[in-house]
Amino acid sequence: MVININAKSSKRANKVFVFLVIVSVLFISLRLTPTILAIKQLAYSVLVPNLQISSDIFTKAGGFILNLSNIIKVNQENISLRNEIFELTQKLSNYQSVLDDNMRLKQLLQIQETKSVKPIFANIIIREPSQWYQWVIINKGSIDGIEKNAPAIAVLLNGDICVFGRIFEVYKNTAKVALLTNSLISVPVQIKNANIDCIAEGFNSHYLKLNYVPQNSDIKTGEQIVTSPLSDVFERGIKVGKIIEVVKTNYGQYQDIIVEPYSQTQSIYEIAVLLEK
Amino acid sequence: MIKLIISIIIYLILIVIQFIIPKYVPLNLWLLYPNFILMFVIYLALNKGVMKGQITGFFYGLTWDILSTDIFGVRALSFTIAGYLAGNFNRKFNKNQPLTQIIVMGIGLIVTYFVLNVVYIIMPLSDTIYIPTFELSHLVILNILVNLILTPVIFKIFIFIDEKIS
Repeated sequence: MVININAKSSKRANKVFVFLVIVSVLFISLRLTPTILAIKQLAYSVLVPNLQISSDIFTKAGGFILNLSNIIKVNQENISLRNEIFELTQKLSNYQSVLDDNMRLKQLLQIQETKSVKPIFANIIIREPSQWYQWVIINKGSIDGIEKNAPAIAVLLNGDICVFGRIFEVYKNTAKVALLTNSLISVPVQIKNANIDCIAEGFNSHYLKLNYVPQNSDIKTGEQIVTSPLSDVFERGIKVGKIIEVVKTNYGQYQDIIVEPYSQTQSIYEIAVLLEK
Repeated sequence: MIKLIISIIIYLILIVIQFIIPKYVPLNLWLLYPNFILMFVIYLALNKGVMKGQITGFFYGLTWDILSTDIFGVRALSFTIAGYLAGNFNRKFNKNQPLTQIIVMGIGLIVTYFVLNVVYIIMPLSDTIYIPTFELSHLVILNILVNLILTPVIFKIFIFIDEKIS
């Protein structure tokens, strides 16, 4: 009798297993058809607000501890800031004249103004370790003006800005960012000193691959990569990374070049999404 | 009803642990962050049987797919298979033995990596040539080792919570 019940439940479990596998395979093979996408978006809109609340709780708890230590520091900072204000006031008086000179010289050289953008600052609320190089979810969405494919940049500790990724999916209050290192992302870039345009491509790892760099170009490790004027997503000249490996082969027309993106060299919690004004 | 509420709470806690806390993990240590979701699926399968293991695996995997930019359904498939296989060890071995837990978790991890790689090779996400994870073997092995070492500890926590709830 017991064996019978066990056999029955085992049969049922096998049937459920086959059903679940079929459903998963269907999802995989159908990819993101409109129906599947609708299901995904519906589930996402139910799930993420709860996660956002949880993330806020964690951030606020962390912020509270940080605030306590900050109060102690504030007093000391206040004294040094007063001195700085005095110095800055003097510098500010020279600033306007420098700005006027700059504008005049720009016009003189007929330098094209870079297209003006509006940054939307967002916090990263979700990042999963096993897909560290693929995606993050930020706390700004369509309601804040975020658009699909908009460029996302990060600010490094030294104050430089670097390419972080591109908006992949937009929801009402959140958005998914595909990182520069995601295999779905490729960005037209330029080897700064060599003035060579090529494509940087992610492959779900810490590094990027540079495609279409001719064998005869003299490229060295350590050279800086910036976004190319050919990019229709990123403005020209934004830092991407630096070359860490150059392999010249006897076959093919192009070199194998590996780049370490700046966005992966430090922890990043906030990013800016650039929107056209 | 109470069981459902408890399941939802556990679900939310696990999702927070897996997806929100990692952003605070130092940059060089993220690789050592364990896969708590897979551990929970394996724990449930090993202790409660195939049915609970595979269904939990499917829904947690689907959640992962919803949040990720990966191929939709790939984690649901791999966690369902891991849950099913782990569930088959239920009642066959002493599930309270750390060695059993480590072996079953190891099988779950290998199955997950294998299924993910097979799907990526058969149906690549982009035009980029997929570099299978086996090429990054030292990273994968390190991650598997961390997960295996932590398995008995995390299982103890799961057992403790399970007993409190019951």
